Amino acid sequence: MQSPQRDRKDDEAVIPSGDDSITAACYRHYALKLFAYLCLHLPSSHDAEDMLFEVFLVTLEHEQELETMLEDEQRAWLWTVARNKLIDEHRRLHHRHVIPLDHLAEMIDNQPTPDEVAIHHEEYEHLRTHLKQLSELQQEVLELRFTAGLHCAEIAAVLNKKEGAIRTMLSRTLNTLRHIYRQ
Amino acid sequence: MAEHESEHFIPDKIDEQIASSLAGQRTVQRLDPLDIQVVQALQRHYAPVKDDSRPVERVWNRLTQHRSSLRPSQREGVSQNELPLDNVVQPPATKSDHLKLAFFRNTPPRHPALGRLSMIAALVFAILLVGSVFAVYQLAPQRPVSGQPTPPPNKHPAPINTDQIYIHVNHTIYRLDGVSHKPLWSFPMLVPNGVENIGSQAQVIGGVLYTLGTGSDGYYSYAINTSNGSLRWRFKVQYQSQDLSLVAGDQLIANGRVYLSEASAVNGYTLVTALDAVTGTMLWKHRYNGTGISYFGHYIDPTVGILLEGATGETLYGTIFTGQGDQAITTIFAISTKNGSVLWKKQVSTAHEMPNFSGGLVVDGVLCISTFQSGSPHLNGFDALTGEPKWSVPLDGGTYNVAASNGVVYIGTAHLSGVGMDVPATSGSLYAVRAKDGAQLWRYKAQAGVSSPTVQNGTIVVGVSRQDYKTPQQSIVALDASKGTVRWSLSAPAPGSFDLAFNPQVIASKNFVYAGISSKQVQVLRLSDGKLVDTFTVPGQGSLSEGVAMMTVVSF
Repeated sequence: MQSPQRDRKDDEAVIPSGDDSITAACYRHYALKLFAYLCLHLPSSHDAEDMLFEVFLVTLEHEQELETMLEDEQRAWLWTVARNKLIDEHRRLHHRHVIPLDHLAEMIDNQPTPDEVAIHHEEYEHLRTHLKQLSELQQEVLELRFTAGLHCAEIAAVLNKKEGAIRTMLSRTLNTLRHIYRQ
Repeated sequence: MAEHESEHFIPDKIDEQIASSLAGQRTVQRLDPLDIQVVQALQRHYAPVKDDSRPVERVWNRLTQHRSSLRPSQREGVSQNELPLDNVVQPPATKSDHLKLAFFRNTPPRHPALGRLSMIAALVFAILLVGSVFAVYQLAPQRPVSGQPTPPPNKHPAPINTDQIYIHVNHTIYRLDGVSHKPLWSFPMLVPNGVENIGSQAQVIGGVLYTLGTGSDGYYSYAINTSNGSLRWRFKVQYQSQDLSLVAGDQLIANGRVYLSEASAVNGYTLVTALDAVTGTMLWKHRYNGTGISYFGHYIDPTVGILLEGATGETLYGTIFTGQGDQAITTIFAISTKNGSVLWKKQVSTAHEMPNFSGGLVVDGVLCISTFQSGSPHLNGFDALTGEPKWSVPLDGGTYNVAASNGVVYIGTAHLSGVGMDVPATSGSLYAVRAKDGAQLWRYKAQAGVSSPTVQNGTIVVGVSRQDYKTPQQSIVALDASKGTVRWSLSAPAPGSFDLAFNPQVIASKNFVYAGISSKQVQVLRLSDGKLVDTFTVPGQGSLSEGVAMMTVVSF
């Protein structure tokens, strides 16, 4: 097998070359986005790190199936696994004491300059306030679209909904946010 | 919302509109600047942070290490019903023969006819495989529910083990890989002269391992990042200084706080400290006078002070056994978690024996604590708000830590047939008691002591052992948590110097049971049927038999 020769993009994970397995390809392409997605839903980045490991363990077990899938199917499959892991984890966390961590603080800590931090913080707070007012499903659709880069058909596969319903929901949500921004 | 607002983003073109907005291409989809602003703001909001690559690289290293440690049978994959994740939604199959992986791998697509032939061959192979497995299963003798452990591990593929295993041994904490059981990292702690190991049972919450341990100048409460074993924070415990000693064992972690209890037997007080579990900063420290001196007859109890039992968001519960001459009193303290002030305290029993130290739990608004009453052990339920006794269940022996699941409290007992610690536990039981009203739901009787239970997926697992150094016997028993019926039972090697009932070394995870069966060895059994899937050796120089090794398992 040949290892991928394409130039690496900013949103791709750096892993040593020479591994052309489907797991390595998926990891290179999606690990950073999956990690960001998991960080949104877990108490700490350490939890997200552990869960990213769990997700790709499942990938290792299903390499043969993944090789038969199209690129968008692979993406949907990975996010379905991650989402199911999160559901399991939240069920588990529900039965035990959780130490909440401040996602925002963690994200801001990683910003490069104070100016960028301030701008990002202000925009983040502004947007977060409005996103909180959306339904859980609307928020999940946005996360899958903008964290994972999934298209409507893929989001529909992950959430087990009809593509048309996702298209309508996503466009309505964006129109709502546009209306808020205009004010 | 105005009608025209709903027309900017259109369902039929939403994917293309978002793509154009992200590319800043206004004209393609007739977008206005505000459309682009909204989409790009969302992208910035949800996009991965650039500096987040290190954890992702660490995970890749773990994956490659894990993959290289897989046995051949595991590399080939496991059957669908054995997957740890049982609710994966599989995307529908497609007949499309587009460039499937070419995007990633620069390899040409396969010919469609070749694909169909492969599918047919795979189908025939699968039918033959299923048939032969069924035939072998029918011919093979069925294993009895109880008996010797079984078959060599490699012949029966088990669920892939994704557990996080932590072992505290010989002043070092190790995290072991779930499959290879090789250390992923170790966290050694300095050991000053004359300082002994505390034997703390670590807890893992939110990616952090909490434990008590030694440091260069005494004892510390540690918080260690589970991903890489780095120190998150540590807090100096005043153990063995200022006449203070830790009260009977361990720290209590609940609701984002770490609580420590230390007592001065000389000066007669207890100090309780509350730490922020995230940062390790001290939130409050409170002194409780008159709680440090305890003597009964001629015996001075060295473990005086308030023993922390459990906590809710508002209240920290502790018990204290105070002896004066020939009179002994047990008192419950309810302490405010905000500032350490005493909310109420209630004398609950007068005992004529030293108390046992089994951890309590708050379940469904009931504080469940095991105590001795008039020389006989009981499991007691108290109203967590007022301290009023609600119920009391008599037990047949000394108790260990309690466990709870779905409103039911489980507690194991051991009845010793003589005086001292080296006499056989000739009987014992596992009790299931409903927390809200104290109803005994079932009781499992054993011919030996029953250890602290662990509950997972409706199965409760205990170690059962005679504490007899001449003819030691021990076994691991799994029961249905709702009915108390035995699901499986295995005799375990009994080295004589190691006793399951007196050490918390039988731990159930989501799919596996870990049992310390000798001074250095841990057996890994399948939770569903007790099949032996692996055995590994405890790392480092210490051993489980020394009582310094504490195993903690976290499963996803």
